[in-house]
Amino acid sequence: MYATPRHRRLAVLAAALVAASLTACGNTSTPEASAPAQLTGSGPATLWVRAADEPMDKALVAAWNDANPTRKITMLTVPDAQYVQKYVQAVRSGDAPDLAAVDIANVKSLTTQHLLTDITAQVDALPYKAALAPAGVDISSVDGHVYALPHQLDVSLLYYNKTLFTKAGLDPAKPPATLDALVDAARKITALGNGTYGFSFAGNCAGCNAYTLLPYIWASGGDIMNADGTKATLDDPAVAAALNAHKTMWDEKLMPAAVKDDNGATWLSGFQSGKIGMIALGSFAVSIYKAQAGLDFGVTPIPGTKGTSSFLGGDVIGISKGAKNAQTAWDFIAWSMSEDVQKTVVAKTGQLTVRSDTADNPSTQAEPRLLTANQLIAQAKVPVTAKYNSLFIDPTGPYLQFIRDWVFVGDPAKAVSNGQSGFASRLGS
Amino acid sequence: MALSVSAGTRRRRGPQARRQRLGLLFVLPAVLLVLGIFVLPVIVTGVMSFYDWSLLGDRTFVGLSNYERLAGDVQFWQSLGFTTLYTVIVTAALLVVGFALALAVRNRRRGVGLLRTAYVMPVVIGFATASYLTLWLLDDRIGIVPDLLRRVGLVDGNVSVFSDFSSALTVVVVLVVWKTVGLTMLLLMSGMQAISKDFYEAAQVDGARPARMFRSITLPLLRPTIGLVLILTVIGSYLAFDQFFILTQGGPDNRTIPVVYLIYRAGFIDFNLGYSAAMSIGLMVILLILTSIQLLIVRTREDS
Repeated sequence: MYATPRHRRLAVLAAALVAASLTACGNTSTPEASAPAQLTGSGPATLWVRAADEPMDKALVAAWNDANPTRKITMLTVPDAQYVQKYVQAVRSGDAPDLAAVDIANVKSLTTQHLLTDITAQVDALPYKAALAPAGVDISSVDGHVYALPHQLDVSLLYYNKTLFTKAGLDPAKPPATLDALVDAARKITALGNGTYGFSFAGNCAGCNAYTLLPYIWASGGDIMNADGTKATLDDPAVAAALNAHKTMWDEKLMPAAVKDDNGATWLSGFQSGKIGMIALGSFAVSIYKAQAGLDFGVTPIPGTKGTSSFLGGDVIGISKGAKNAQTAWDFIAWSMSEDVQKTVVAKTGQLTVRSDTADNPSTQAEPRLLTANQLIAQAKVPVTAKYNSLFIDPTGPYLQFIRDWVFVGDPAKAVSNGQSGFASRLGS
Repeated sequence: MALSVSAGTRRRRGPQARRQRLGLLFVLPAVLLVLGIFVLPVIVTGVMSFYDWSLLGDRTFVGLSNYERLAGDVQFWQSLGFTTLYTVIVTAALLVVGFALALAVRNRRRGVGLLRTAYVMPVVIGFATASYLTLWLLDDRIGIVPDLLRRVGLVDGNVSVFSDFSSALTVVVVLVVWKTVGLTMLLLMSGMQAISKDFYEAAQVDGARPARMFRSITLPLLRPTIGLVLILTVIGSYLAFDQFFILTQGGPDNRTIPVVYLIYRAGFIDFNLGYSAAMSIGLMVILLILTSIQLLIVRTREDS
């Protein structure tokens, strides 16, 4: 090809630019998975938390810093939606915090990229290891190695209005324990009339339904994904049982018409008004509803056709790969799980303790509904997938569409076939 | 770079050559800027699109497989269809409203400065800010609009504009027109002011009415300006993101997902930078084709 010197120089320049840009992006070598090692570094440490879970960590860090003035912990709050991306970039550029408190459902994104330190040896030495929320430990483990531990927990529960239960002739001491009993109770409460509805859920909120609708499926003896989270199992009879119960309640108008559009903004307010019989929510709502005068409510595990279940939400905490103050980091984790700190600092902020043997404490005794919630951490589950955000949290994701097609459009066959391809497409990317 | 430029022109001497060298030096910063913030990112994106490139981890070269996936991606083509529909509606609305406003404020009159300022003001607001304003104005619990509608008695019960496709799209279009029509108006207005008054005077002498003057003088002489407005609006609309991300979140039932939303989703929710890059390149090619067609049409008309 004919090329003047100037053209050639331009070509060289372009090539140099491409090369430079590639090198600039090319610092992404994979860290090796290493064997459990001694933790080193006892200087002051840094901790990243996500914005939604900031208050408890503030209290914890303040208590730690009072007790450990020479190795204080500095906390940085990161917006929930940017946490994983920012954290990964920080670790890769060698700028990671010593401690990372990450959403339970996202911890697999970190462990599959080998970004956390193996703490199996330290965890095995804990006398209360068996009391830690098992689903939180399992999802933070890879091939028997533990990389993070439960840090701040919240479980999903079925809330029911005791006043409406009594009015409808139901026993407020015996909340529904099966899906049939739930639908039956919803019918009786709706029959009270006067704008009262038996049931409610946020029908246009992806994350809300990951948290509160999956347990109906689990409690019916099945799951929405296979064991290693690589394939959707939307034709599981348990999925049908849970969604058909919702469809029945929608078809029979046992829930307000507005649930179809609720994107989470009005998730809590319906039940708060005292006109809703039952709704599944996180244990965080106990303290909100407690403050509502005249609202007499109870909580119970979420029922299915074969028992009850619950979603374990919240955060796990781990030590970053290459943390400069890993020993301080571990000491903080161990300290935060100690009986005293769990019962005083953690429980006092209204949070659940991460150990079932500390569930019974002065704070939960004063609020028995929190005790019910706290005891559930032993059986609560987490969906196991590295694509949790894409599948379950994204408002344009396949899970929400699947629920809406089934419940509101009323076409289970279409919901399953569209859902399977939607899940497959997001899992494949 | 500076060195190579001077080396390349060393052979030529004289005042003219020196002026050229000086000119090159003057444009150099601009050239570097374009290279650095446009050419380079496009090249990097192009390279990325041939990789399975995770935001979190490794990358492997996969050749054309991202593009193969793109060709068969139903959601991408649906989304492109929706973006096209949105673009057609927004472009038509902007042209009509922009024309009306430009005609209203083209001549100097009392108070016209105030009107011009008022129309152009929304242009300086960011799309995210404007979207949040709209979201709150329309919010069923705290917004003014649903409250007003209920007080007037037009609606009963809940007002949720984003649960219906046409009302959701209407809200977005109205927002976009409100926010960007000022720029369209400015462009059309300056185009109109550039038309010599002699034409209108001659037409008046011939007894032409205002409608006839608009059709036979204003419109034909505004063609280059209309072409520019069209190109700007079409490109801007195909790149729409903020307003949908904040207002509709792709709903109801995933029917309002513009292409850039998919690009964002692939890159930052699915962490698949490779596929995200392939979609970006795809969209860029489509936009280049559309813009070329528009330029061709405008030019032929100019020549004829």
